[in-house]
Amino acid sequence: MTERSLPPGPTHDRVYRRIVRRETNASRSGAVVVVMLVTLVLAAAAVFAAALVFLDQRALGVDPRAVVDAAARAPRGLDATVVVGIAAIVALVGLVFLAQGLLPQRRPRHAMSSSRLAVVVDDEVLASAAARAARSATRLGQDAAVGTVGRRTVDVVLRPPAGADVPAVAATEAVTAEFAAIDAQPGVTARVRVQPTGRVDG
Amino acid sequence: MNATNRVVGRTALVLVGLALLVLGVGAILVQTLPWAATAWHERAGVLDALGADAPRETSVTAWTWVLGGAVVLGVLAIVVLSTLGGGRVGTVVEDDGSAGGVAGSVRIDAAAVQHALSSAIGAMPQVGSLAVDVFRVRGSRAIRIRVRPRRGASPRDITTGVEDIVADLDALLGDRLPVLLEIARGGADSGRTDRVH
Repeated sequence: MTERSLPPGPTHDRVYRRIVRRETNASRSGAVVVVMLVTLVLAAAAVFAAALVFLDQRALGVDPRAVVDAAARAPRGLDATVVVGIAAIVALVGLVFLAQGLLPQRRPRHAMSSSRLAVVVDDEVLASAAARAARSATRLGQDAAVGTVGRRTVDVVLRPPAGADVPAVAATEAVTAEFAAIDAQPGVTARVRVQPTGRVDG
Repeated sequence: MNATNRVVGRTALVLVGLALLVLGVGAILVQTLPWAATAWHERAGVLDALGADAPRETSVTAWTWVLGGAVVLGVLAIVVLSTLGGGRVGTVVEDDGSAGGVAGSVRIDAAAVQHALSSAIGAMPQVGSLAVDVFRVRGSRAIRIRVRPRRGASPRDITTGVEDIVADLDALLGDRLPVLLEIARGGADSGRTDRVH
């Protein structure tokens, strides 16, 4: 790498914050598409009903004005089971949409510090790195370490073959050092466990 | 990292969800509780103009309002749908030289940056596969580098390597564009044993 004379320039802090926030939270575009299609169908139904009234026609023998009258007279003349059933479904669908809009939905990802880039890393990659780091401090085979990453923790389970001695402290230090270098945000604490029941295929 | 307006989307979700919830719960209450039915009948008078007993003139006016409202609602829904996705662009730098007072313009295609970054980053031993895209973010350009690492690769090694390569790109372009590095799961040679809960 040669010496670079580029000025410090903009660091894009605000753009990076926005990008990282968007990349670590789930997009609701699927739910939005469904909601907008439902809205379009309802709007089309209302337009159709208005057209029927203007032309003094009925569709399937039903006059939209009679439907409005029946709704205004409710619950008289309506079957309770059917109305409650349909209304419950409508309310449930509404509740699901509302939850989609209000509840936070995080993707299984962490941000990483960097002087130049905005970095997001999938938790699966962190788990894989943790397993590799733990294994490197021991003399175990490829499948003997399994990493699991939560939002604030990383767990590595070592499954040594029966009779093998595992330097658990060294493995913990290796994983901790690896995650100190990664510097994930939010920060994660490492924990290494050695499974007491040995494997035979090792 | 597309141009979707998430505030609009979530607002639409909340409004429609709330409307459906109120409608459903209201219908259940009116159907099952006598006091709710009485309260409904007191307010249902506004629907008379839409009913069968209204004179023709009143009926047409009321249903015209329904028609207008439905059309506005439909147009709004289409507008919200059109805000989803998009934002990928074909140029990285476009400069007409006005700052330096020199005539002529410079344009750098996204493809040039994509090829340069792909060949440089693809040569790193930790990288299984990668994709480079250029997006529009808040009026300016941003580069997204999506890397699928090999199994067990250190994310810090990848980040450091990409930082060096992007520094070279900065020197080449003479500008520091925002760059997102996305280290994604499931690359070539990634194992099944490492899991996430």
